[in-house]
Amino acid sequence: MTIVGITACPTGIAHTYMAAERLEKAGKKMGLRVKVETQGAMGIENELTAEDIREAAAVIFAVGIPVQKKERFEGKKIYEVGVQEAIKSAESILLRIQNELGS
Amino acid sequence: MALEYRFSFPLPLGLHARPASLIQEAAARFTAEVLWDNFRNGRTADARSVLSLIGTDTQHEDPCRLRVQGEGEDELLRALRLLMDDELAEREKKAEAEQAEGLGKAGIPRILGLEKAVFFRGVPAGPGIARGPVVVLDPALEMSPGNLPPAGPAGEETQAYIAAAAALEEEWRRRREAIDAGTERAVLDAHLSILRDPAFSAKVAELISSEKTGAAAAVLQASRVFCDLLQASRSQYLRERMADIRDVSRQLVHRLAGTNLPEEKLWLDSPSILIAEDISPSQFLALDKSLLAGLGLESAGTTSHALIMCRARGIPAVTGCPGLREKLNPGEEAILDGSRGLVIPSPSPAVGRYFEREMRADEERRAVRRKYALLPGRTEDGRSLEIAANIGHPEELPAAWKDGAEGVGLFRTELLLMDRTTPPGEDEQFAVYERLAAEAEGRPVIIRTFDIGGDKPIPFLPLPAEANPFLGGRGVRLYGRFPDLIRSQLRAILRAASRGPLKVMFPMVGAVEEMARMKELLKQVHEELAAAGIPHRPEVEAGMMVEVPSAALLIDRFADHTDFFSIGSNDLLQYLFAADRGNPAVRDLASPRHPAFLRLLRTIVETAHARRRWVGLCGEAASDPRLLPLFVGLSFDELSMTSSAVPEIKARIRELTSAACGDLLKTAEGLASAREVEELLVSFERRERKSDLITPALVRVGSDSRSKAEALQELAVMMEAAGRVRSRDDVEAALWQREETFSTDIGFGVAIPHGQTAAVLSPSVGFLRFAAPVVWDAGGEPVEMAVMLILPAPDPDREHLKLLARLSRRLVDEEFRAKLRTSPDAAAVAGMISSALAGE
Repeated sequence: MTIVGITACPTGIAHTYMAAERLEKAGKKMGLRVKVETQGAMGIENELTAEDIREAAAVIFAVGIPVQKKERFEGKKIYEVGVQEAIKSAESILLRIQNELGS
Repeated sequence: MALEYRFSFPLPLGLHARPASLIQEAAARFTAEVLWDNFRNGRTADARSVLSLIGTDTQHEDPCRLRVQGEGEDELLRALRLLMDDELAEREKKAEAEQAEGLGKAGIPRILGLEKAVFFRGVPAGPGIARGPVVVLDPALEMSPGNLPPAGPAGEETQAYIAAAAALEEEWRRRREAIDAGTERAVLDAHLSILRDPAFSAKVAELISSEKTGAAAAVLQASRVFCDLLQASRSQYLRERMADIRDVSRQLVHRLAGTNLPEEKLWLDSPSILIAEDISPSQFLALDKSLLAGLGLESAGTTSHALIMCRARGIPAVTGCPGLREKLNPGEEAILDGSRGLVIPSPSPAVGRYFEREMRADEERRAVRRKYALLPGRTEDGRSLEIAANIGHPEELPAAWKDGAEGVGLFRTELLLMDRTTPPGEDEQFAVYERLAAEAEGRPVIIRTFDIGGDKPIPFLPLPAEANPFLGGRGVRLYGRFPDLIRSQLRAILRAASRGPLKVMFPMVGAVEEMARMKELLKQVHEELAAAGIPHRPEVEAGMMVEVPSAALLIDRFADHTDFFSIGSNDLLQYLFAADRGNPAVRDLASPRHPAFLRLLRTIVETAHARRRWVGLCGEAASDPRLLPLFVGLSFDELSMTSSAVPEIKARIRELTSAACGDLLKTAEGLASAREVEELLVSFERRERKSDLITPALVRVGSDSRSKAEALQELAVMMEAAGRVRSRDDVEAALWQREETFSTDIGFGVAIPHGQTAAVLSPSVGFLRFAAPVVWDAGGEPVEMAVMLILPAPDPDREHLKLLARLSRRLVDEEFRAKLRTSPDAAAVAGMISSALAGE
């Protein structure tokens, strides 16, 4: 299963990247393909392609500020969580999504 | 039949003045009697008296009872119940929120807001922090009972008090009717409520009958009793009430004891913070300075003699704090922060600790400054640039030399004209200039003649009112009208110059004739002195301030009449850009970074050098370290600034090379705006510093910080000590701003405080490992380590952002954190973080 995500915190210096790292690592551990786009002080990095989004079973917004280019995700199942939550409990977020999607 | 209501007191801070006044207001609307019983301590109060209510010493959750009896008792009890159950807490929250507003402002440590501390903000007047008991210089309240009339029979004293109170009440009521709503009326209302307060008169009567004191002494003592009560609570509002009580008491005492109160005597018998409205130079001199820990004044200007002397002696001082004498209680402990302009009475332990740590940091800062002060004013490639001080009083010389000033580039003489009704005589001036010459010990001192006019009125100089004084009679332009004034000044300077290397400089010169006249006058004065056989130096170096743009464009012609030039950048800027520096709407237009200004400076310096005249700059811009590369590029011979800026400028100049600065200047002159130049300066500074993100100086493996507030303070101080930041306060404020958006506790016992601020010179990582885990957020897990990331703003090159993103990603890795947790010393931690940043 593929899951994509976006992380973005107010200053875009640290939390954005920590949350991204945690989600990717947790995905790896759980055998999921997780790709995370960061929207930090350096702008958008590791940008999600239309194909990434099309193939994703779910989208995670781990954000403390509005998401840029949000229209890309129209019609997708979006899970919105706090940046802190993603850093502290990335695995349980992914687990919850997994359970809900029933796979 | 009496009604009653039992409750436990709802407010965490207890029944202090603000809620007490709400209760009193409610009670006063009815004629029914209301009594307040506190079952914890058995005290009972009349609820129609604020002071009486406060006197119950009611604390949070004390069991209490209200008893109501009389007309309207049902309705009154309902109102009081609503107040207790609901409104009191609500209104208290609102009042606190209002108080908290403004706490986030720059220069106010966040700890004061966190601790809900009472503090007063004035104007910084002498850097440093003092802590100690308060001594209040106040004629009425510091009188010893011996100075008061002896006590008569109790009955007469009581009558005298009642009569005095009634007369005062009558007077205030009449005044109150004569004025419309507004501050003054509010003040009178507050005073009247104290005067009418039954608890206050009851206390006075009790003291008269039981202690056999006179009415005046009883008023003073009652005032003390209630002020001591109020002091205990942390409320700004309550401090105002304390001021009211003192003010009312003072006026009562004046009525009772007559207005011929003895002149106050001023002495200290242990290290203290002295609080006064203002103090005269003679009072200051009479003080034992070794016991003067700090000075807080209500109304003195920062250039008052007492404050100049404080700064010269390194005594922390604050001024511009109205009502300070009344709001502080004699003998209470206080902290005075002369760098930020704060006075904090009765600090909580956490506030006390914070400022103790600040004092320690100050001490370290002074040691670093002493080191910098010894450096020569020379660039890395060996070009000399004299770094001098601007002063206004000979008392400031020792501090200037200690700061490393190589001379006095500007001695302002206007202080000689202040606060007096007749002009200073020649001998009086001579005494001042001679002292300069003697204490200069061979260093050059430039005396600027009186810069009169502009907006500064001088009582004994009849200056006409002008629509636009800054473009009218000012400086040298006025000397023709006051020939005796300038003549006596030049005579005094020539006489004093025989004792040391004095130079003279004329302000506001715009026309060549003006300078020629001054040279001629100097010659005349010399001839007069010679004829009279008075010892003097026949000729001194005479220079001019360059403040008027027309003069700046005619330097070659001025060079025929002048020995040197000193650019008064403050005025030259406002005249060049037609923008008043005091007007916030246009102030930014007159920037010393503007390419137009830089081009003008180049013209001045090049033309002067071609005529073998030296050029200095003595405006505020001289003390800005970021502008220094441009001034080096311009080949200035001298920069003169407030002496406290000298050490940092000296430290910075030795990092610069003339070639790089020359190139920088050329680029800057080709730009279009001050903003573009600022960006250029920022990137120049960063490029040139190329400092590592982290060094062992930014790591502490045994931090003694006990709270988030202390941790952020420690990080900011570390940044300052490492020379990476202009203002440590800005770093702390930036970190706090971030914390308040959402916590930087990322779990796993790690917090990553971070932020961006223009104050930071180079992107930095700081690290604290706490000796004992610190509670980062109320209710959260304690934190063992804090990793700080701080970046400059604005931020033209974003390379380091990538590095910090990399570090952030590493920090969520358990193995990496474990290494940080166990790493033996600062160097090892710095090394680990450096490799993580390098992607290893």
